[in-house]
Amino acid sequence: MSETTSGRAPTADVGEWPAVRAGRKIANLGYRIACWIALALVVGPALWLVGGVLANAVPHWQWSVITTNTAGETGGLKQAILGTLLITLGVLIIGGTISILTGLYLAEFATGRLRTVLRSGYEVLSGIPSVVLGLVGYLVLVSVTGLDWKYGLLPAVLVLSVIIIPYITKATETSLLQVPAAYREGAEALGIPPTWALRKIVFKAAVPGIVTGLLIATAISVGETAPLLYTAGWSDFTPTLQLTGQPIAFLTYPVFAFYNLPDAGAKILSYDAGLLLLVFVLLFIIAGRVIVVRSRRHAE
Amino acid sequence: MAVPALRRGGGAGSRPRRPGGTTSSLGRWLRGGGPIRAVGLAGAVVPGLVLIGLLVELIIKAIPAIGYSGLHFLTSSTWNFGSQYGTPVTTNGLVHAPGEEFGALPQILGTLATSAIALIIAVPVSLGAALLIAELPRRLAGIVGGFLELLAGVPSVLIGLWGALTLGPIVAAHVSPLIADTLGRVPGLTGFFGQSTGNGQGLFTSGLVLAVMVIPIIASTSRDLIRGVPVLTQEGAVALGMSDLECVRKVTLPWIASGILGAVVLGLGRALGETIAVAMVCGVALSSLPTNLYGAMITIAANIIQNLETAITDPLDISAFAELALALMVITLLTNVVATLLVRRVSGTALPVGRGL
Amino acid sequence: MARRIRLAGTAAILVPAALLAAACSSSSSSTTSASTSTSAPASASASAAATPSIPAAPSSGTLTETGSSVMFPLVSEWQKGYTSAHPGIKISTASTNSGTGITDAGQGLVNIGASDAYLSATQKSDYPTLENIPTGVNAIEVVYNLPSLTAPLNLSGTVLAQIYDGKITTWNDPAIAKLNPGVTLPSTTIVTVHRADSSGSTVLFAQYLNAQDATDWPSSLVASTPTWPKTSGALAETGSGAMVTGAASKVGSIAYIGDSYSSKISAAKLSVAAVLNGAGKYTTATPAALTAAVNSFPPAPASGSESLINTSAAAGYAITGYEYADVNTTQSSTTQADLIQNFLYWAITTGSSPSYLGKVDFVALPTPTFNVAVNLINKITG
Repeated sequence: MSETTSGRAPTADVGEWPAVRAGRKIANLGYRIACWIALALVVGPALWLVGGVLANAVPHWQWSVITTNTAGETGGLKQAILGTLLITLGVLIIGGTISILTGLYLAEFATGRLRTVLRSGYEVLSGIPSVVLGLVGYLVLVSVTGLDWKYGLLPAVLVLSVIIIPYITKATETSLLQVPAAYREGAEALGIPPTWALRKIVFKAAVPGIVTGLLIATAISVGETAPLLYTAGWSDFTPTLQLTGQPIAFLTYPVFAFYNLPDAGAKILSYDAGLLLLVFVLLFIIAGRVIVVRSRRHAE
Repeated sequence: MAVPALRRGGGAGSRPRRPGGTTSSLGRWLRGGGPIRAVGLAGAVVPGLVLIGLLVELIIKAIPAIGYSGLHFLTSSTWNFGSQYGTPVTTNGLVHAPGEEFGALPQILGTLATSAIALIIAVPVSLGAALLIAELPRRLAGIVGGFLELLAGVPSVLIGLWGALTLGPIVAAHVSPLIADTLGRVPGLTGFFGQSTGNGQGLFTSGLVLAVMVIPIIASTSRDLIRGVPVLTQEGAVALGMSDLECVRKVTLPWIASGILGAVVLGLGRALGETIAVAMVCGVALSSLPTNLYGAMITIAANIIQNLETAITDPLDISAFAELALALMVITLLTNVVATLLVRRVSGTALPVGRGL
Repeated sequence: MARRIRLAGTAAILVPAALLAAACSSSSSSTTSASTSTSAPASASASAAATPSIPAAPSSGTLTETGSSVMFPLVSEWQKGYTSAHPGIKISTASTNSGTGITDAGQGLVNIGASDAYLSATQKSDYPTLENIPTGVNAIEVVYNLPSLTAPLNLSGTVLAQIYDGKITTWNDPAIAKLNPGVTLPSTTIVTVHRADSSGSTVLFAQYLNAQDATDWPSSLVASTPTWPKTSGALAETGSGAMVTGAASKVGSIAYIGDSYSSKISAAKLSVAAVLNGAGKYTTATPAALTAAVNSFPPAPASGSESLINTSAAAGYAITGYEYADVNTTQSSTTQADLIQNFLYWAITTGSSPSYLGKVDFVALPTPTFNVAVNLINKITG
């Protein structure tokens, strides 16, 4: 739509439309070119990054990376994959439960000032940098000056839960509030007790939004590095369910610990970890799209 | 959307009494959703309690260092972990290395400078891309949207990896000399743009890496906001003979200004707190003020992550790190507060056109 | 009754062992002066005396280690050798930095922390039960990236201090030319590469600079993370391996890297400098030079902490140091303590044979330090 002199035929009385100043046309052209350059600058780095990881990881890929543990700076990544999965599961259980309860309370039961206070509680939490939470987690949970739990699954899960609580809470609250009033009104009209309605009707309708929030939280906990460095440690051993005192490996560690080593094997391990992380991200995006599509179908 | 207050709570007071039902208070509490409310309340106070606990812990840990450095923390440029092998001294009951100095000015300025550069690059690029995406055909817009989600979901350590191994050397070899030759020749800007172009570890690379992380946030939010501008308003602008650029400038952007501001603040929050990617590309120069676009510098978060091992053996150093963490929290909270105020102000003076359409 | 038999049995073992130990230690002191320039494990006789008090390894268990990137290649070899000799034991190793080794070992987060730098007084007051056990002798090499030069450059502590200080900025500076007569030096800018993390290599390098030139490099700059003077285009790298990559990435770079990375250094086409020692001679980090250096110093004190910097032996290498295993003397259980003791003793005997040390260009402990190490190992309890 860069042709700004009207495409509509002038009516007989009006006469000719005034000529458009060249300056406006040039400015408009410049704007459109700038927009295309901007789009290239957005898509470019994404392609470059993904391409770089693929180019460095795929030619040297071996399936033994998934089946063997790391031994120092070589080997595989099995214990790191399992560790990340275990930590993420813990985060969803602990952080997810607290967040859904918080979101539920804020959307359904809290009023006025209490609501503002509770909401600002978790919103301020969302603004705190993850490295600060990691540092406090280290001082309070891991270090001898705190609870002396040492590196372990529980400190990692607790710190990551605090990081993701704002995301799931917001998603829960928003999706509960977006449930159409018609659902609630219908339930009330039928004489259904409010908690029953909440459980069977309102909550069910809000599930896609909540699941999307959980998905975002999973993506964040898989991708975090700094807080895990201080709470999970690193280990070459297959993770156990031991909550404290046993360091646990995670997938982002090899990326930044091995990327700059002169050892070809270590560098490949770093890129392999990067490849696995990208695969996780892809799975999240696909899962997110599937949820959106299915919820739209259900909503009809 | 507002749900009428009548449905809030569902406690005994608002519900009509059922004929023949029990009137015991426990029964009412149970049927009024009491257990859910109690459990929900218990969960809802957890974030607030964690926040308070966090602040209390940091403040308690930071007090020795605050007393030790005083205002030098904010004004001095020398950060020194002390003569590690010198004779320990005692201050306020803490045994620590002699000669310690905690001037955090380079780190504070570094944090602000990298975020500023990130926003200066990211905001125009995101807006431009979003404006374009909003008019693309559905399938193409979906694919580009996928790239945005990819970039948003990529762990920051991978972006740091790319920045350190790929982007940094290329910027140092090709882009920085270009900038130094053009902007660096402008009198008055030579000090910042015209110095030696470094080795890819520095302020410029850090800003670029942060920009890559912030762009998806601003771009996707802007795209949704632009799609939300009513068609009628845009058609009105076209009917008046406005070109695309004029329509964007005069109608679309002012309409969504407060939303864009919110997205920018979100991006700024991400940039201020980013740790690992910046640590990989900033050059970790503890006492260097960011006076030069290409030189090595440091941010608060990068310092914490690189030097925690050094700090933890010395109680005064740990105290100084707690003080740093508090400083970073104050910076992020202040930006959030300022942004909320700005958004309210901007919303208030938005074009009256469109309200109610 | 049963307990009395057990006590008698223990006494029956300990008494002759003590006598044997007394006999052997008196003979080992006479072999001190004889132990020179070989990388064979020092005095098997001393080890025979000490063996009875080192417990046997438990049949299964785990060991965790982290710390110095310079020591990491050797620890990896130890991990392979020890776990094949003791199949029930699993060892987890990580290459981080000496500072992490010290702090994690001090807090009980790992069993063994590897460090190139001995404990400072502040660290000792923070972790009173932490001890540093010497396990070998290593060197820090000065590495530079100038492909046009063939013979190794001579560099002194003063010149190096002024390079890292920013006072000398190009390779053809007169101060460097003076040390290298007849060599055509390029006019390339010097790019200093230093460690970004809490590094024991930095401590050793800084101690050397301070020993030779206290004016340009005062003792306030001797630390694992000193406040590096600002030099143009300096690179900060995390870990010894990254120092190699960083130096290789830029022509004109200069870096300080542990000699366990020699093969990687030459694979990256980097050159190693000859460094001025306290006797006024320029030497490189050969095993003979390391042995000459360590033997020129008095025996290590009972704590194990000793500096081997700036030797006055003519053939000795100037930037030499002990590699330390930092261990908390109070472990979580007796079995864990036994395992650590057995592993560390294995490391300084079997693990210090030429087949292991040869891979990393380290040399074994001299006899007196070996005895100090054994005494420190014996202090670990559960």
